[in-house]
Amino acid sequence: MIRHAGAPARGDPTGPVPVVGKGEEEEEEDGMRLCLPANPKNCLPHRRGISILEKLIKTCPVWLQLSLGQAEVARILHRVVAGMFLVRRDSSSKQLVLCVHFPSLNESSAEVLEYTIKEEKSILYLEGSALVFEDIFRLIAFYCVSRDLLPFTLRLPQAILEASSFTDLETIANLGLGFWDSSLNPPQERGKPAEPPRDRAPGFPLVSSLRPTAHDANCACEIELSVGNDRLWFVNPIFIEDCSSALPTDQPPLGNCPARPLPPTSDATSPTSRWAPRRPPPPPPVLPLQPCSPAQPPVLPALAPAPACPLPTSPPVPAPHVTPHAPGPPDHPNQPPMMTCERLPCPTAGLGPLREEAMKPGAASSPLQQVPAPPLPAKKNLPTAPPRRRVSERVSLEDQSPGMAAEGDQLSLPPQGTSDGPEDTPRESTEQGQDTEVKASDPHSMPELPRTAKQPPVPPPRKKRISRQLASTLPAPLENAELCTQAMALETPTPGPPREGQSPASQAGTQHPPAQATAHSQSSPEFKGSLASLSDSLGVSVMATDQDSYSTSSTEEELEQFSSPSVKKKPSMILGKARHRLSFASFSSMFHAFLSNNRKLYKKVVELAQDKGSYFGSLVQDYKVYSLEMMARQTSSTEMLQEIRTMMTQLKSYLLQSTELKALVDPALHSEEELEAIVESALYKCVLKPLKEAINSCLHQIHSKDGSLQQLKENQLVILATTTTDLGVTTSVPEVPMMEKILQKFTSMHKAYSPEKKISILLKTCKLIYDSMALGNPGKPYGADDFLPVLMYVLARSNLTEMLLNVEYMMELMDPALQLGEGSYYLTTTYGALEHIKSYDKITVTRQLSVEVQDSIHRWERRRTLNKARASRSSVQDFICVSYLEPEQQARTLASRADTQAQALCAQCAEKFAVERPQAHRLFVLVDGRCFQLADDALPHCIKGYLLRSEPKRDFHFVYRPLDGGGGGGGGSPPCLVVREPNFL
Amino acid sequence: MMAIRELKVCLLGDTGVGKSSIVCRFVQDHFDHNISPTIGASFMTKTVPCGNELHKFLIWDTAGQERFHSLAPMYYRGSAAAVIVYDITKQDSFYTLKKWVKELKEHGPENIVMAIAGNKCDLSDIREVPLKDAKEYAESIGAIVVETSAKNAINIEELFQGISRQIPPLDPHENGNNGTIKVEKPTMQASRRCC
Repeated sequence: MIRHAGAPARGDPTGPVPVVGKGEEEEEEDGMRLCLPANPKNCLPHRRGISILEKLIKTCPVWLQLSLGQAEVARILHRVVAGMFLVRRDSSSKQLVLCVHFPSLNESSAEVLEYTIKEEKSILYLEGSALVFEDIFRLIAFYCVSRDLLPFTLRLPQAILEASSFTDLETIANLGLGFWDSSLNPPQERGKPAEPPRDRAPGFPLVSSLRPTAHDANCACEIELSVGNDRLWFVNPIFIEDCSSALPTDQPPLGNCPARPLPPTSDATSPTSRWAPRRPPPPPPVLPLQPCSPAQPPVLPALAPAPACPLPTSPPVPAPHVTPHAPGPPDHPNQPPMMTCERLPCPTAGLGPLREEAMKPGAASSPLQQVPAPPLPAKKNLPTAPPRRRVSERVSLEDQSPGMAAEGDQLSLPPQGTSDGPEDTPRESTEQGQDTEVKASDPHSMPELPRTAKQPPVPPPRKKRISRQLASTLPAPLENAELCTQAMALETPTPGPPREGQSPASQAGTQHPPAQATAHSQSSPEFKGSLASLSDSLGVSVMATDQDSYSTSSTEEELEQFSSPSVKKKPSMILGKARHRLSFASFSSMFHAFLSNNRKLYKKVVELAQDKGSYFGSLVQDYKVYSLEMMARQTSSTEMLQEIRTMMTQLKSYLLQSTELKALVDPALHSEEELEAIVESALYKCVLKPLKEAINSCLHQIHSKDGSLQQLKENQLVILATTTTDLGVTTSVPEVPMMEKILQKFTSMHKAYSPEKKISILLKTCKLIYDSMALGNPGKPYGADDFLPVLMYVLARSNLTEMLLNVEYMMELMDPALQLGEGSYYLTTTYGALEHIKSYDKITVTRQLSVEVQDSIHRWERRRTLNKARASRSSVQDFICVSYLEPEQQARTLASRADTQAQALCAQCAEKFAVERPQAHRLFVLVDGRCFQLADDALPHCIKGYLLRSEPKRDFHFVYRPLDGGGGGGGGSPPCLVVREPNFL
Repeated sequence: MMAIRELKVCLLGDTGVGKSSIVCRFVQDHFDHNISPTIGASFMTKTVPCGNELHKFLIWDTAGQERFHSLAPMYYRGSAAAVIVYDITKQDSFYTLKKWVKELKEHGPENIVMAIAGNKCDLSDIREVPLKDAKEYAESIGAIVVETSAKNAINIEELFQGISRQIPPLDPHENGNNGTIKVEKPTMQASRRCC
């Protein structure tokens, strides 16, 4: 899709060839085109581009014309390409108005659509939309990549799109309103007949050009679910941007245009466009075509009806035509950084697989796929285009590997693959064995397989919501049976319809055969294709990884399946008791029905997430790619993990609101809470599982750098040499055989990818420790006084490195809603024990934790709190760390809202630091040693966000101190520049 | 059906004052057959009715040894209530209690309900801390205070009932929502405690 934007420039129908999805060829093509005098450099992929958000911010003098009248806006927009926009302020209502050029059908006259931008407290949103944004830049950025209720995405002037440096942008910005009439806004572009309002096309170029940067933007991903009205998302465009690249493929450009002419085969866009209307009705439940669903899902959860699209998005003009505005070369320039990333992906954009599928006899029947893209003959024998997502993933990986390798990083795919491979291989083979068996009996039942032997339920016993328990156990139905029973007993015996209870497998088989078949057929070609294209660059290891992430059944789960039998034989105390309490038999049938319903849904969600053709699937894919790139840049383990968690929460929120999910769900069978839990587990599988190795590598790297691992290792020796008495142990400790058992548990914990699964293993381990403690004195209840020292004793005999990674992984990635329970308690305790070990030598001297450790714990608290704040529905708070007088002196982390002005923050500081003359103090920000004073009405959070996202990373500190620069010679004696806007650097 | 609210309660106090004994007594005396037992006594739960709500106490025990002191914030963070235990036969444990109270006031969650338990009241003949002192102190800080005996099951129920009563009822419109969020006031805490 992204292609479209670029492709259009060529204007030649064949240009779209990208459809063929031949990565390499594409590149060549592009290269040629690109190597125009104007931007030879563009041929080389830039490491970094300028994000759309940054471009918007820099060039706001151009498009943000608050004082402009309606008529003047119309005059300007009249001459530009469809999708171009201005923002003005309505003189009477004082509200901002987004004015978008929208060519009318007859093309003889242009129209300007106006959308009121509503402001509520600190948020902005388009009237009628459910999406909220923190500021106008983010709002516009979002609509550049996703149309929501607009008829198509917004488009930035070509010059801005193509600007590859801040200097360029500055030049443009300096023109202000004059830009529109300047030579930078070339007549071709202006005069160009309105291009067909394509859904995404206009925005694409943006996206693509930005894409690389997107990652730089530190995920401020603060999507907040707000209460009250319908505002559901606080959208972080950065995230969206990233995803948007996926959109093109998945989303037909013109959703609303029912009468879309069949796209010319050669047209790149055509494949997409023909797929489905943009906002098609929710796919029918149990849609056999699930895999195909790609085309439709609205960007937004059905919340935003498309009222704003008064005009039928008529211009059926295929995207390629868009090209006109972009004279040959120009269109590439704007995508320099993407070269690699974007180019490849676009062509393939989902088309590859689909096409292939379409060609498959079996798949031919599916309506959506009926029109196979006219495969170019030449390309045909080329390896199937890898699904777009994949490609980009691969690209990003490739991109990373060199850099990372240089850093001794382990993120690059190969290692991942390797690590994954070995680990998974054994399981896989086992799994396969089982699969085969099942298949033999019923080919369709395979997906249901898990039901037979699922991983032990991870449900932290204390879950707030019973249903969560269920959900977490979902993937592991069998073993969970007991738990579920328990849960059911608690809740209400509202198991699913008994009808399904009897033979879920067979039913599933009959019911879904088409869906499954499709899924398989689709995925396999995809898989092959991607393998083919990936293998050369990544090596075989990729295959393992890929396979892993795409296999319908989770290897991890399967692994668990196999271990579960033994677990079942020795049910934990909990399970045992539960069993006694319930008459299991009476429940079992309901149970099965119940489980199978949840199980089925779980599988469907997983399939949806893995289906790159679906909107959700593409989001997931984009997200994974994003995460990999993000991880490579992170220096803080918690921030890294929190970003991942935030993304997962976003994906979850999206899916729960989306028609995509609604289409899969029978509301009668699943409560909202169950749904949440099911989606959560599905995300573990679709997001965390493929990322797990990379996450671990990054964590390992981060902790190697910060010395934690070394510290742990050293102190581990100290503790091993310490007597139990000196450790404070007052009970018996695990004997050797028990220690072995415990260590085995830790090993399996390390292998698990699901945080909840890990937590459940942690709990089992703790139980073993309690059992050992009780040996000498049965019946005595042991509290934390006794337990913590023994836990330290045990940990000192374990692989502390893995333990550290696991604890962080669990803490940050678990569902934030579950932070009060037993799992959370033991996690906290384990973390505490690790911290204690880390600073053990110091403790023995001072008898208490060092300041650093306390800091670390405080940070920990803060992040937990932060996470929770994010999870809660109404909070728009964020944190900002302010030092007093000197950077990093007496730093305080203050909570304030994103729209809190510097003045208000100063008041908080005055209180916090108990200064005597608050009026003489101000907030400053030190950036790389330079000092700036924040204007009273500056928004510290925006500045913080901006600095956080800036590349290269800047070292910055907020400091509260007297205006005269006093207070310890902070070096601020010369008057500082007073800044308001975030881009003061 | 009554709404269940999960309330995190943290247990503070010197090592050896009987923190976990109190909890075990509370949790096990009237075993709640609806709730699965926990794996150990460091973390226990018990659900009790309170008005038209059910309060599910999630009781987080902390290690009382001085060297683990700095881990405490992780435990009292997000707590709706804290039970601070001292041993009436050990004056030192009462001093420690005062330190905990001070710390909670400074860094604990806002509006945390504090309950002081003078344990081992069955040993009152060797008492070192007069009940009067404890009462005066509790009053000065607005805390609940009772003398308990985990051994003889004295005042254990009362201790937790007292806590239940001090937990503000949920806003009616928040019903159906899980109460924990409200109780925890995460954002508020954040602002107070993140330093």
